[in-house]
Amino acid sequence: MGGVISKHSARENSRYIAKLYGLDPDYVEAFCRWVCGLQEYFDQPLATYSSGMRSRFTFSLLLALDFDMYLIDEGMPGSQDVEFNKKAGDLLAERLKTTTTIIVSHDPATLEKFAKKAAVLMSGQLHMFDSLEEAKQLYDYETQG
Amino acid sequence: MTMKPKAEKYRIRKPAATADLTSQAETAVSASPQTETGAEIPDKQRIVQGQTNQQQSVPNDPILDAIRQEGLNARQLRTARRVAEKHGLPFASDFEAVKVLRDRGIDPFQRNNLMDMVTTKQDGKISLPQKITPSQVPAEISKETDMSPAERRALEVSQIQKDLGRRRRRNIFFLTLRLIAFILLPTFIAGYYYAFGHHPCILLNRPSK
Repeated sequence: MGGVISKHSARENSRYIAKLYGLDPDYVEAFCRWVCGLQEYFDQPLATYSSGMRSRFTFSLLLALDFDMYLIDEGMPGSQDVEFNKKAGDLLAERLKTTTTIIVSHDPATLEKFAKKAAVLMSGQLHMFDSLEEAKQLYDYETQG
Repeated sequence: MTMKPKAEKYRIRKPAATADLTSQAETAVSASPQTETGAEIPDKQRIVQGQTNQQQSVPNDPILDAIRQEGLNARQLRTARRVAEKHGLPFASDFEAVKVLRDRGIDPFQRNNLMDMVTTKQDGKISLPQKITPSQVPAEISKETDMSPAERRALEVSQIQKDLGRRRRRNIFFLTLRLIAFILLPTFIAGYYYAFGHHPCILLNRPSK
């Protein structure tokens, strides 16, 4: 997740992005402050953040914006902060109930968590399956057979 | 994982055959403490020795058989032997050492508690360890956190939002105060002075009647 300017503070970034999406900047800022829990560092430039703080902020920004569809690549932002993980995990689970998610992963456990249908990309062709099991069979056949 | 392992595997033991051998060897070593040159003897020989040792030293004794059935590991047997030696008890094999110790009412596998070394008596009084009330698991849910997570989230976010608004209002108030104090007020004073005061330059520039 990018789209933030490291010269600007988290507050400025969040308000700017909220304006771009036509949302209430106050709400987005408050929401981000609550989710990422950066406290006084929220007013510091993003360049001064550690990578964990930065990923927490960008992830909270992602959650603040209500998308219809989420594209999740393998590299999901992983944070070590327990409280943040709890907050963000609850929120994401709530979102995923009402939204469409397209997730790319090699890990079957991750896919089982998010997806109902799966497709396998094999030699330039996308094989779509109605169930995860069928896709797993093809994937395993390709990689281990 | 369904990925094919790419790294080569080294030093992988064959599970069944070697494990069996090593376990036998362990018991054999533990059973023959007298052989000082145990390291130099090849494994197979040692096993044979150990087995013969056991066979020789252990006649058909139901108690010993029962102990053997317990499935004690090599480490426990070594411990038993050491403890028996410490107490100066005669024994011919490891299992006998266990038996002898048990006859004496000594548990061969009980760990020596380090805390026992600390004398509990001080000035004739018995000092007990500090009593700590164990924490309750799971913790009781307090009234504040009784709301559903979504409600609490909405509440906390709205609180932060209100706080933001309050801070902004306060900042604007102090900004206007500074503007008034340092810009508007001096401007009016200066303006009044030049307009109605008796400043020489104004007097000079005044059109003469």
